[in-house]
Amino acid sequence: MDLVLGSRSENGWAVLEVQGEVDLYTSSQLRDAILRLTEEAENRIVVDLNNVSFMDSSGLGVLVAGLKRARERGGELALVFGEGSVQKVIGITGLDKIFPTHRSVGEATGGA
Amino acid sequence: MAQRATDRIDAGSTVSLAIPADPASVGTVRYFAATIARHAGLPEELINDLRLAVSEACAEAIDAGVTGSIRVALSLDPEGIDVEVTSDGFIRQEGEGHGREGLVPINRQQLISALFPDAETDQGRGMRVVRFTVPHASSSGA
Repeated sequence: MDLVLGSRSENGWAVLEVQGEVDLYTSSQLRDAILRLTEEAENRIVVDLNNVSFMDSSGLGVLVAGLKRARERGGELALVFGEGSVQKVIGITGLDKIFPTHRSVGEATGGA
Repeated sequence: MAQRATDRIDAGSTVSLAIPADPASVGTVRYFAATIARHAGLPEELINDLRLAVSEACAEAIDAGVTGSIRVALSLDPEGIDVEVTSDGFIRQEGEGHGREGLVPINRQQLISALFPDAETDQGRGMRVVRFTVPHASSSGA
């Protein structure tokens, strides 16, 4: 199953909305979307995972690589997610201490 | 008296699914495992943990270059569900990475063990087996 990906600008951030299941098969789509944003010099990125129903470590690896890439360019990559399986896998791997995390896109972009 | 998970399905039954070592098939394994676990009456939190663990076990095998098939077997017993993920044609040795551009590798085995502390892996003769038990009550370490 493919991911549904969409991006928009909000308060100086590029917001990447992700919908679906992020795993070994689909994580390359997420990787390509993040790479595309950084190539367009969008280095302040919010990845909205509120509509992601499943994520495994393939997806986490893509997000960590995106964070490194954004920070190397003086930017940031923040995550938005609610309670559930995504929150659990991010917490269990300790990545909630690495990423800026938020409950809403508005909170992440400073617009809320 | 609370109903135990395996009261709803025959204890001692084993159901299994074999898939090709193809990333596109891993979602089918998650769906299969979740369906069995739901039928067995496990709570959603544990079902989500099971989905993640079997997905990681399959992905690890595929990342390692498995050339054959991957078999996922769920055995129902009074303690919960014993899970075995067996991959044939395992060609890479322990600790060898599988680099993917634009991806920082996360240790899949550690993640499985964080979800199910009894997880163990046996490897040899071109086969690799990941085993863990999903308890019938929410007692995973996460």
